[in-house]
Amino acid sequence: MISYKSKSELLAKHPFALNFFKKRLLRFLLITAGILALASVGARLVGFQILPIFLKLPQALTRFFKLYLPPDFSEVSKLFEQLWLTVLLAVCSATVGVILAYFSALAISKTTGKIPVLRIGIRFLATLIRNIPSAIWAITLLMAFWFGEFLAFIVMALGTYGFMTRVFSDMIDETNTNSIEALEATGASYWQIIAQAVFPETLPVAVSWALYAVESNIRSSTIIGMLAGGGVGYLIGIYKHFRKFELLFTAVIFVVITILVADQVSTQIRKRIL
Amino acid sequence: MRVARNVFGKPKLKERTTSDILIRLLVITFLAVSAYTLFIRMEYKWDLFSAQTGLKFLARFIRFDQVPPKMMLDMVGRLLNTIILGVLTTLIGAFVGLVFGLLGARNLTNPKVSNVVKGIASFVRAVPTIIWVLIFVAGYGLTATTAVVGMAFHSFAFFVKSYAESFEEVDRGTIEALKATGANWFQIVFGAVIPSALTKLISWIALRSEINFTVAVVIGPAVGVPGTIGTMINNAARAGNYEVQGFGIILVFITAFLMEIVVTRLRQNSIVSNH
Amino acid sequence: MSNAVLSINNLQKTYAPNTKALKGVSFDVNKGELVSVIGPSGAGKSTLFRCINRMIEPDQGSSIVFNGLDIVDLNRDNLKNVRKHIGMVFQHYNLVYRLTAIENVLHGRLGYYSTLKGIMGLYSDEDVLKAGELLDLLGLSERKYFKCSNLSGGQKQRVGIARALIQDPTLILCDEPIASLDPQSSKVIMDYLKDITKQMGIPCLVNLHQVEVAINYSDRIIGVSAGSIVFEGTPGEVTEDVIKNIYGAELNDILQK
Repeated sequence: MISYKSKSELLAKHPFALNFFKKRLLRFLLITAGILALASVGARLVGFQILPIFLKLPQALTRFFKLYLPPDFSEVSKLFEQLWLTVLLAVCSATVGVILAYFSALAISKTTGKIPVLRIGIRFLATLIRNIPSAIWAITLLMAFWFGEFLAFIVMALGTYGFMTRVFSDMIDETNTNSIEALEATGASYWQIIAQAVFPETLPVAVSWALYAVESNIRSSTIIGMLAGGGVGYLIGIYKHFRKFELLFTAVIFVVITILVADQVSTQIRKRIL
Repeated sequence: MRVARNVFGKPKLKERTTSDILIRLLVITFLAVSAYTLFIRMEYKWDLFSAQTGLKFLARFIRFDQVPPKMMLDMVGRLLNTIILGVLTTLIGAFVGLVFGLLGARNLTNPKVSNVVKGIASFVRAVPTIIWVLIFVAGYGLTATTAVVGMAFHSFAFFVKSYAESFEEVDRGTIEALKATGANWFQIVFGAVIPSALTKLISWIALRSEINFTVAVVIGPAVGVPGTIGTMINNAARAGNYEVQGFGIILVFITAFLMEIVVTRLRQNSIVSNH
Repeated sequence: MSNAVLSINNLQKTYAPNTKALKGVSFDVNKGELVSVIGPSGAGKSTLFRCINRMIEPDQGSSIVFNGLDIVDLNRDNLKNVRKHIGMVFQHYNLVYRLTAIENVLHGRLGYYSTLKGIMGLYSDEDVLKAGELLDLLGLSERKYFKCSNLSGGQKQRVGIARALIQDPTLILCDEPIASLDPQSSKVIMDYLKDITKQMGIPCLVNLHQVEVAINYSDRIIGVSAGSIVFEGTPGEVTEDVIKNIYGAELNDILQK
């Protein structure tokens, strides 16, 4: 067995040890209290109350069931048509967004970007596009374009573009620069190097991100459709507006199924690509 | 693109070739679908677009001097409201998600529980946020609370997934070491698992805060939550107050941009501190 | 027999129907003894160590008597009690790198605390002071409040040893404690382990890769090959033939080192 000195002797020898743990506990308590205090002030400001959610649960459930159930399947053919359009729009906007983002990333990446003005300009543009939410784009562009699937396409493509430009420029920064250097040494031109070294190296990752973009566009199609028109979101928006909740519920069922399927398909394909 | 495909029959190379074929197929499909959608399927494209109107709007967007100062203050207040909605959503999601994230981590529970928890999370994630909000609005009526709870569902699912993954990445040996000293499950979780994953957890929270701000902005115009900046931008657009709309967009942009900078910092730190 | 702290009898472990990792291993560890287990990788040394505190469940019919209790039959609560008294030191240290050295040492006491106190890290003053003292003893007085990610390999391993010592263990299991360390740090660690057995009287069972080290430091050496004990004796009895018998075809690799 280990024999220790008496407590008073140990205390004299390690004057900071106890303080260290007291400070740590204090810090933890202060942080927790701080977060809780801020949250409750915030909750009071916006009028957020958690208790009624639990207290009124039975009434809320009955009201929900009365409004939404049973699902009305009478407009399923129209629904499928719009769902198909949503998928088409998602793929189309993902493709366009990804292609544009790829070239933008080439222009702003440290390894491949050669023109400073272009680098700063595109970086600014991508930041601007990325940090304005899709819904705001939809509301704003609504005035110049018109309500409908083309606007939905543009809004989704902008979303994909903003996000993917950042992803791709990181990706190109991470690809090994040795092969680029080797080709440079042989006297290959800029576009030759891009086509023969950068492109083949990054294509699988880019395609897998494109799949992700399709998936995420399908996810956001509900809200974009409601605000910009086009696809199943448009239909859901109409159902909501005219309070046809039983039809809306049917639409939701199929949207969820579509998203789950898209999620699985894209995960499976990505597994096989990378 | 040349692929050494038929010459070699080795399984490893064969795997690569399936991936190459898949990639090629995907690229062709994507391009074909896009061409079909853009050139054949869509009924209208540019015909309704007018650059002139666009430019006219743009000119009015940036006339912030025409926004009355009192209005500006009001808008900043609504921006604050929106930020609070996002933060509350994140906090609720992060807290509930933590509990279920622990149950979802394969190395902390048995595989059955983990699969069930992850399955529930991916279902919750598949229902769009806006739908969750609509469902809650149907039950409880339109208030800030319903908006937050509806948004929190999605955050919850996000945290379950990302937390569980972060917990699964915690070194098995560390858990083993605490088990060997006779510590119980809770002590192992709070002594080893959460401290080890803490930087990652914080960076997930930061990332989600960024997303939830966007969601809180969007939920305004879509459902009509009063007192948010999104609703205000939407109303301004409809009423033709383009200066107000422009100023609102700038406010949203600046907030989102600042958040992005913080998140990028945090993520870099969490990568660096991974011994 | 009364001198034995740990007494293993016919320890068997079967993973899949046809893969037996341990084929009836029997040996004792006595008070104040440093016993080394040597053998080629894949011989079952790691499985053997993890069966002793049941991190891996041994087969039915095995017997591991520790402090007069058969570990194999224990229920979960009693098993936790036994684990409290067996310290374990790992090849990869297995520390929580984001926490400080002293916090990692105190993890060794978690088994003695209620769940809530353990979660909040409300350690008693005595334990905190003991942890400080142990870190001093292991030459880490300057590093107590350092994050473990900022320590060197040898220092991390000393924190690991302190974590085992604060358990007030009756036995310490060291699973390849120096396999990831440079020769200089290895010597320091082995010297500490020797001190622990001789001065504190806590027996150590050490799983080693280097025959040389085992000969220099052990009181007794056990050679394991293909899940069975093929040698047991003092360091003096380890001859070239014995090594050949333990390591078989791998002998040349060992000698070249």
